[in-house]
Amino acid sequence: MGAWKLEWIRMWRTKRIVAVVATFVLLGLAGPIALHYLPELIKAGSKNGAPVPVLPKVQPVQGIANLGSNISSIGSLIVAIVTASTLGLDSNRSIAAFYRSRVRNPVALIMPRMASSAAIAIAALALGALGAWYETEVLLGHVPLAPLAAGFLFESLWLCLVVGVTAFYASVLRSVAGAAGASVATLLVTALLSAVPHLSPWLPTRLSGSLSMLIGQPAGDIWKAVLVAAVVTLAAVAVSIRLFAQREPGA
Amino acid sequence: MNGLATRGLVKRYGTTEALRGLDLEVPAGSIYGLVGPNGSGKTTALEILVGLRRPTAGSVDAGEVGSRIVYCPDAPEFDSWLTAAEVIRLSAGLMGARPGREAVEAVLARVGLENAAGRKAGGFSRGMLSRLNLAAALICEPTLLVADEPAAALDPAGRWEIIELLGKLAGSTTVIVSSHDLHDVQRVCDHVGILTRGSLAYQGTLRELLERAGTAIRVVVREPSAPVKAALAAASWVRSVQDEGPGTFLVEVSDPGAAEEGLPVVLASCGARLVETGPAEGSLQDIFFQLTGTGPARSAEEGA
Repeated sequence: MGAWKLEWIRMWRTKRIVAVVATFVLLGLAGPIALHYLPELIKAGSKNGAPVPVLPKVQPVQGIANLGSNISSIGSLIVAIVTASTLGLDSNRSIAAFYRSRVRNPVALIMPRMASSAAIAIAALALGALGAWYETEVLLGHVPLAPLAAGFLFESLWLCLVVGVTAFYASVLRSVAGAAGASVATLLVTALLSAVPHLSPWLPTRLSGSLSMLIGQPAGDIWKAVLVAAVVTLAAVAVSIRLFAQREPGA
Repeated sequence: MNGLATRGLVKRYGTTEALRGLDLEVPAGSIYGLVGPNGSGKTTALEILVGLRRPTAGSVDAGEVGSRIVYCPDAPEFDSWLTAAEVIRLSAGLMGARPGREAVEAVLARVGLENAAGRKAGGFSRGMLSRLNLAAALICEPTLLVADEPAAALDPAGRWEIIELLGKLAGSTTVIVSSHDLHDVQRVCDHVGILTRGSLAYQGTLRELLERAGTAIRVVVREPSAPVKAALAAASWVRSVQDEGPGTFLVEVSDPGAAEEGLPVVLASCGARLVETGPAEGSLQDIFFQLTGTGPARSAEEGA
């Protein structure tokens, strides 16, 4: 058994794959359903005699946008937790000794863990997006697939960034909770920085929730954020591999 | 085949110096026992040898025995969701080997885990984890096996089996084993390093060490024991014979090699009905206490 097969077994036996995929699919299916039945829910919930607010007609793109919005928060958090726990190699001294004394190449040691985390996040996003697209088609109206596919690529890059940033913190902190927490905090701070007009076009947080961004509108200047996200992700992966290689066993 | 050697290994943790110029010489094919009191730097030294830590200064020349180094940490643990057989396959796989089912079953049987191949490691006792730890190392067919307290969590029978197993590797595999149990070291090791406060107080063959301080053997026979005592006292390799109780003698020897060959002959010549014989407790222990400046006497002095 090699390191890649180990990660496949880890994802199934620890139910990580189930947690990530179930969350994304549930978010994908629930969004269009909630939007479709929202007027009826409001009507049913209003008291006798109280005026019922008239909601604007729901656009099909909102069914997809809903998933993108949830991925920015819940989805990113789950991906950060799964990545931190998968890369929590040194949180247990004895287990770390088993792997580190047998695998000297840090890339061979770390890359399967990072790649499996990213692959599961992207696969879960694909299934969630498919679920959201199907429900939207049935309940809200037509959504073209080509811009959705392009949005999927941007959203995938965002999830890769989450994995990369979490990997960086996992290489600095031995605690799984610490790495996941620091990663989410960093992404939140980046989101807050988007309030600064000059910084906003360059911030990779623009890719968060980008699943529906291209549906019915041009890409605009998203390429700056794509460039920064790609560079930061690659840099975070490279630095984390280097830091993992240099780390010695804990006390 | 060249053995392993370290030159002036130093390891500092902040202001604490865990190793102070360690010069190990481990001959190829030997079973090398690294002993020392708690905090003497044994685990740090082993972790440097296997590449888990970098020395602050000094170097490690693993020679030809370093082509396949496998480490058995103390207090072993494995991912709890892996079965014992999967741990074995993973251990080999990470080092580039692909053992068949028979090889996996054989190595588990070798450490007494043949009935636990399909059980998950998360449910193993500490003793079972120690056995699995050794099996995971043996499947890699190491040229150098570095084992940190490999039998620490085992009951006496399990301890005996594992130490015996390590002893059988002599000649084919170079083994460095750290242990707190001096009896284990005396039983299987042919070379010994005594580590104290980060540097070696002694390094050489076990035989030389025992000869340096003299060796004692305890002999227990059924009565009448007087002829046995007389025969032992007359042997050329015996320094003294002390009564320790009915039919029990502490035989201090001047030449351990001659004693190993001569004792059965002497006992047979006087028709002794042997109950028990073996190294007297404290033979290696006394030297250890003397070299490391530890032991009950010192503790009592320090406490006074």
